[in-house]
Amino acid sequence: MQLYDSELAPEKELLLRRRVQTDAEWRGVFEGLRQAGDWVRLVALQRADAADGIADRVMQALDEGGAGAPVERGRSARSWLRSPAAAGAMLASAALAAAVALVVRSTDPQGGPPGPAARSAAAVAPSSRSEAPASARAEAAFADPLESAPAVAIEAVDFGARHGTIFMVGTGATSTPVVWVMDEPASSGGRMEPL
Amino acid sequence: MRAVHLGLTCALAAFLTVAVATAEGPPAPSGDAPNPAAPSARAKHEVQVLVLHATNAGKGIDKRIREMPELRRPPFSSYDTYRLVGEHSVPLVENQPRSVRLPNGRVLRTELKQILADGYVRLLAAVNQPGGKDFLPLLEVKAKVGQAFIVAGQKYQGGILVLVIRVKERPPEASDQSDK
Repeated sequence: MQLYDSELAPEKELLLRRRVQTDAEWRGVFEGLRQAGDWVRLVALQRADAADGIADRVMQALDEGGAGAPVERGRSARSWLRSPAAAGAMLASAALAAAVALVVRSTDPQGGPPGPAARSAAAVAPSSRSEAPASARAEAAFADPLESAPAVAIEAVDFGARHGTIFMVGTGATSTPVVWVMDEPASSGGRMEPL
Repeated sequence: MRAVHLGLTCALAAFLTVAVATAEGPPAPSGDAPNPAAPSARAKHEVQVLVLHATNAGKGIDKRIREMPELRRPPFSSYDTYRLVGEHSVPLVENQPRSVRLPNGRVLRTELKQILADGYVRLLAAVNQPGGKDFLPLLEVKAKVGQAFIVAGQKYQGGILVLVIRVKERPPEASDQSDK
């Protein structure tokens, strides 16, 4: 795969290319990768074409919607959307509107206690937790499906010199957060001991 | 150009909404804000710590362990035997750390950091090895009173220790003399 992606060192690539040329089995594998790549590119192209087709059909339908269509005021919606400035402005306003919604919601006195999600950027998957630096502060939110606010939120963890992970154990209606610490010091790269 | 105007107008409106919401809105009872009605000296909360020893001794789950379906789910289900080796109820007063000695010689330290609104508390926990390195230097949890979380993984006698930690309301008749 690295050979196909041209990710190998030059000398290693040369060696493997010779092997591909001489070994029928290797040549077959390499050819299979090439065909798979072609197929993936073809599918991606078709999907992009299909998506463009949908947009065209929608725009055509809007254009054919008659003079009373709200998008027609001397300028078609299609050309309007094609304007980069307009698209940028709309994206900016949409982002701001989302920010407003978040701020207003977090200050809503009826909204209950803000969950840890308001403090933490995102819940973190267990796999990434175990690979995270041990001293890093870890934040994760765990939501009780029966309530709007999470029942328990692990707001910070310092695993020290060990590896650890945070995950949920679901028990039907509720879930319980678990902090699992490996009881072996993390390998820190060959500490020298006096003889 | 008209679209740019529209976008800028939307952005301005959004900015003004934010300004109004933050400047004139009533002070919201934040879940992170300390509760003014928080107790001072007498402990109104306690932390309950169940110390379970998980092994594969083929003896099932100790009957003294109350209903804990978590133990039958992965990864806890990889152990077939759970024995209750310790149960502690330690009164909690804000900013006063309390310790529980674990069977493996380590110490679980808990501290009620804050009593929050709506029945939430912020709890600090750590597992230390006296005279040695910390096992778990810091764990900060915001939990609703009565909800449990689990700290697991410490090796002990052919298995592991599973700590089930839960902050509870303290019964009024409970004596502070039981503080450890």
